[in-house]
Amino acid sequence: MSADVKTSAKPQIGDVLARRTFRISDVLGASGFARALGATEGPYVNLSDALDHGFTARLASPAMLAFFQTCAMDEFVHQLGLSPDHTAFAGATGQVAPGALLETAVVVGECRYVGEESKVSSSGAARRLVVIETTYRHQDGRPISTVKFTFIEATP
Amino acid sequence: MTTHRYVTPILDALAFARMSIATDDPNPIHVDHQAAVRAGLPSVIGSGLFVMGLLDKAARSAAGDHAGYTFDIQMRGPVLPGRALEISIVDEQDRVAVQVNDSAGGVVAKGRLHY
Repeated sequence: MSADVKTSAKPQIGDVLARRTFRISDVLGASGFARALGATEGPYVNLSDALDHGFTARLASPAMLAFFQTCAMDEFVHQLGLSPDHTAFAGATGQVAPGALLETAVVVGECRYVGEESKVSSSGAARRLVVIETTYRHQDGRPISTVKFTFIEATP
Repeated sequence: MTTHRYVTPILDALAFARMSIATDDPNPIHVDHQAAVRAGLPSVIGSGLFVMGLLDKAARSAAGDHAGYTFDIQMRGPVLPGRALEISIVDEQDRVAVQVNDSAGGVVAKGRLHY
């Protein structure tokens, strides 16, 4: 596992906040993710089911791959100057590449600061929207997913 | 018009904790009631990855295992404990609408999917 975290206090739009390479099973629980959603069997839960389906390991949902596994949460809020108690996940836009993802895969994640906007709510409260894009690839460069996560900070 | 639906079991604080551990999510509002209250929430709330996971599950149900897809989804409400989530995907030929509701009637997320 390796990490490369940018330490600049004031990132600019387009800056890479962090990169990290890790084996999925070293960081994430593919089976726990599937079970949390209600699955009790199948190749995402049981190794024997995965082997029966012709895979060499359990499958991992690419939906598990979020930004915070690449850019640590405290780094994320520190670098962007966000108030963690007043910031919420507002939505996501992205694409998932075709293909099965094994929990033994080694993935390369990159988290980039791609947008920011200030708004005023209908009640007159200030709102700050921050967008980061996280891209995951296999070590050989094959894409896994690219997702833009939007966060909204309700300024006190 | 084709509709795909998937319903989770009732999601409780244990399911929220399981999700946080599975995804290495350090945000305390998913596991610590006091931290959630300090953040202005009524209780712990589930990670947005419940919605992302349901979206992935439903997309693969609709498009086929291991198919690629694009999506755009906005959160409309929190994932609260004691409720199940239901995702519905309505394929209307030129667009595919996605909606996640909870079992109390709340809209948790809405968006679009393309595969």
